[in-house]
Amino acid sequence: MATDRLARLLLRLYPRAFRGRFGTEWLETAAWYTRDARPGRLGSLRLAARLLADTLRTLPHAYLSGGPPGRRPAGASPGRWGQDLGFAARAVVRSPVFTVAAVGSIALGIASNTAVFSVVNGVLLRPLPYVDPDRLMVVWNEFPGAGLSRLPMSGPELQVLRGESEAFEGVAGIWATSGTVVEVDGTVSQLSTGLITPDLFDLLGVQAHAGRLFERAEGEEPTPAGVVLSHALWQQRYGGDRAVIGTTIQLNGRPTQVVGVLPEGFTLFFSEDSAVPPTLDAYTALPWDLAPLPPEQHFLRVVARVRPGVGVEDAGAAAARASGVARRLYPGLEATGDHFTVRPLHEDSVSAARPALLVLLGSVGLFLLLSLANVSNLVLARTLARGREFAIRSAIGASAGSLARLVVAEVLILSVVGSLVGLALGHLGTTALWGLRPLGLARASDVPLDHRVLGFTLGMSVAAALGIALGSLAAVRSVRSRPGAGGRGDLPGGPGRRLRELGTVLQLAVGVVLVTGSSLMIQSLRSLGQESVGFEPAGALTFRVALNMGRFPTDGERARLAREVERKLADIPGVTEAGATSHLPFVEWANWAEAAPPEGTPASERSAYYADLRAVTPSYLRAIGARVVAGRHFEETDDASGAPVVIIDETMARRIFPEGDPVGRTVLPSRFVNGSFSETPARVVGVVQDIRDRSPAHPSTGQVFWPFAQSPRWELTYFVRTGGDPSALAAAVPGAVRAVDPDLVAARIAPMDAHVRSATGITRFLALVGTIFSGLAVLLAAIGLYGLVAFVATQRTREVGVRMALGARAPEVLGGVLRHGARVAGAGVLLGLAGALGAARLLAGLVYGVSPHDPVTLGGVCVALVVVALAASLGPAHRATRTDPALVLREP
Amino acid sequence: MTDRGTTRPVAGTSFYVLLALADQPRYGLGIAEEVARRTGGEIRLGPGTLYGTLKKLLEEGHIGEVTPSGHDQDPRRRYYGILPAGRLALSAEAARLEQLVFAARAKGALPLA
Repeated sequence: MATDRLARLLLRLYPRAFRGRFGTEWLETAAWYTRDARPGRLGSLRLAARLLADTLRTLPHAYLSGGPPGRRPAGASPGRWGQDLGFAARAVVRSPVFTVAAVGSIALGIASNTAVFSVVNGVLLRPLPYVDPDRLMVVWNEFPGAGLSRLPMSGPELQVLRGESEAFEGVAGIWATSGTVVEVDGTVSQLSTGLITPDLFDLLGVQAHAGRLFERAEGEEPTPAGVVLSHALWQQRYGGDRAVIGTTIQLNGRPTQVVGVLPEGFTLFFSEDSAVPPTLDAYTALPWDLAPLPPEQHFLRVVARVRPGVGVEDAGAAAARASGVARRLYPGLEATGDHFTVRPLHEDSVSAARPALLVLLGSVGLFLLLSLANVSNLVLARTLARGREFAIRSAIGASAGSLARLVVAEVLILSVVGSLVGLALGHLGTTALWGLRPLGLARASDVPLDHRVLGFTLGMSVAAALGIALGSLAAVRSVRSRPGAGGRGDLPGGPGRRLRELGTVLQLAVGVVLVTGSSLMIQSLRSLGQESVGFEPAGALTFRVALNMGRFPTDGERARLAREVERKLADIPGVTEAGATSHLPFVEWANWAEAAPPEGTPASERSAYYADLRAVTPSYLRAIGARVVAGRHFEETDDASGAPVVIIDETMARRIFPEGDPVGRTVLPSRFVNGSFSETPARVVGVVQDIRDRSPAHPSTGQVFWPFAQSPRWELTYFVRTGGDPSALAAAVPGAVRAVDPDLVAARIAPMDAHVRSATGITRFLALVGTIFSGLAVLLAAIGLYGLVAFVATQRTREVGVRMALGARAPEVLGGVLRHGARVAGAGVLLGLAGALGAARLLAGLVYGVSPHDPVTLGGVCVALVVVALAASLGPAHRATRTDPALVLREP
Repeated sequence: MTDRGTTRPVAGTSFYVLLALADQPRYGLGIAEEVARRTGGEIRLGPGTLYGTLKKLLEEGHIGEVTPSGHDQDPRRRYYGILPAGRLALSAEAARLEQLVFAARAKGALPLA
């Protein structure tokens, strides 16, 4: 019951003594109070709102009065505070514009912080949903000799790491692929699957939802026995039927028994660069003994569970020992200086998200500060405007305390209402923010509104209320100190004005920092867009086809299918060129690494020549618009009967042949023939300009391209170029693919542009959210400055009137008012400039193609804000020049 | 703001709570139910209002915690009974209301009983 939870939550707002005395019965009464809900969400919402209102209305009383009547200190009677609150509530309701502006400011500030903190909490703070998640570590492979970092492990390396059993309770590995074909009732479809060591689930502490998961004994059999389904696949494909367990399905043409189903919501938490997605459709197991696998085929992402009490450093030392053993056992790993490094799984999995989220949190923190300054300004202005009222109250004997209580009571009401609205808006904002999140920024499956978020919001609200209250108290003092002057509502200068100036300076400074940040992100986005990625992504459609190894076991058959699909695609009206690759840039990158050494390389130096190996059809490099800088493209004649040939990229060319002229030389990459990978000498026939692989921001790590006919793998992504809108082809593609063979499926059809957008997601996300906040910030700062200048101009009405009566001309008056605005704006911009320079360090890892200290950006932002500031002061300044001296002088 | 020495009437929720306790001691929810019954379901006291009022009435010495002697006593609950000060305040308010009703009748706003 949601209202029960709400009631328990609300009860916690009361003082301990109150809860001890009335708590249980209070809850009982709350349950009675909210019992007869009209059915449906709206009915319970209405009751929840009623309970909330009932509590909040009466809550102050529980705090304000204390103890039995005899012990109550004089003057602190609950009645007086109650009276003040009542009076303040009426006053607040009577000035709707002020109230809406103040509550809105507080709510916006609190809401943005609640939303961003919810995401920070869900992603960075909440522990991973595994058993003892603190003891889970990822183990990466570093190849300093080859200049490569964070690579996966080979089977034999993982086997060696298992030997460090004093530090590690278990070591498990996973390799993810999206090209597994499943056949159900005659229809085929593609699944994403994880090939895992049999102990992975056990190591994470996951229990089967139905059936069983892999056990070690199972892995000892030579072939992976059985498949474990994800809860989602089980629901979608088999309707959640338990009878499917024990039946046999066709996976890649092999009969495979379904052994169990994972729990709902099971998520993998690997970093973005691990190529292991958060969820996969199904899992099959590797044999337990990994030693017979090729030692240089690095494909396993490794997660280890350390024994209790073993820290990261101990685990690191154990991993380093293991890499020493691996280097002795497998000399091929020597040259790279191959060694293992260990990081906590949680920290590693959020390493890409952390800087972005922290910058975002900092931005909304500043934004809150700005909103509060805005509210302080509003309260201040209101208090000063009520100078006459306060002066009268003071004159008929109101104490300083009672005046202060009035203002504080008002601030209290505004803060509580603003915070509650903010919390509600924040909850909506969280959903919106979570919906916008780029792929890979955050892997948490949801962002709950838990005790941490509520505590954070409460803390902020209290701080906000305190800040505003302090600001307003200063104003009250200034009013009260001059009751005579107050009678005229005429207060030149004084602390009130100074405070407002300070608030406005602060607002402008925050505005400068936020606008600088978001314009740097926008420029980064533009630089990324203009970056040469080595091919032309616009105007192309992509989709994936898996070639079922069970259905099409021979190399010749798969090569023929790839070619025929390409021809069918070329027949679609509007298609100008089509080709296919095993690894599409920005989508399927760096899933494993293997050596491609030049001929004659001694075994101990082979691993210095790691490369990403791709198999492409002859027309692929032409279709994507890659530029051949030496030699030639692939031709149709580079097929299974022709001599083995490869094209390498410029990075690879520099790595293998630093002396230059690679065309015609021989290298030894491995290729996929007769069902397995084997090393084959191949002649380099061409060199292409580097093609960015992981994202537009990441340079190539070195790629080697095989003609697909000479390395006919089981998965292909087609790249179809058109003169028009690529989405228009989407309807024609599935038919064209099926026409070649009814067992072929076009999956994940998407324009290449979409992949580019997703690869630049974090930058795009920060630019978007940053622009929203900096826009609001500038708006608030402009309103603040407008208010300040208008306020000062009004205060100076008499002076201006007198001066105009004595012959001052409008431009002089205008200049005077504007000069004041410009002074405040100048101070704010200078302070903001210092802040922006200080924040540059935080942005260093997030910007691209622009320095966080970029003088043009900083200068531009400053000028822009000064212009906005002057524009905001122009209105009130102009009004001052139209002061009618006669009217002003006649005033009492 | 209690003015000790003279008996001030109690208004609003306090009046309903004292009225509910006038015939017998009751516990918290029992009071809320009695008030709802007495007003034909018109007035349902929320937990914040009810226990806020009970706290205030306790502090003002209008009511006190009692151990009832009935057979339907629940040991887990706290029972409240009306004290002499509370009874005085209740009658003061009732008298005030009576005067108002009298005035209303005199002006023809209510039919004569």
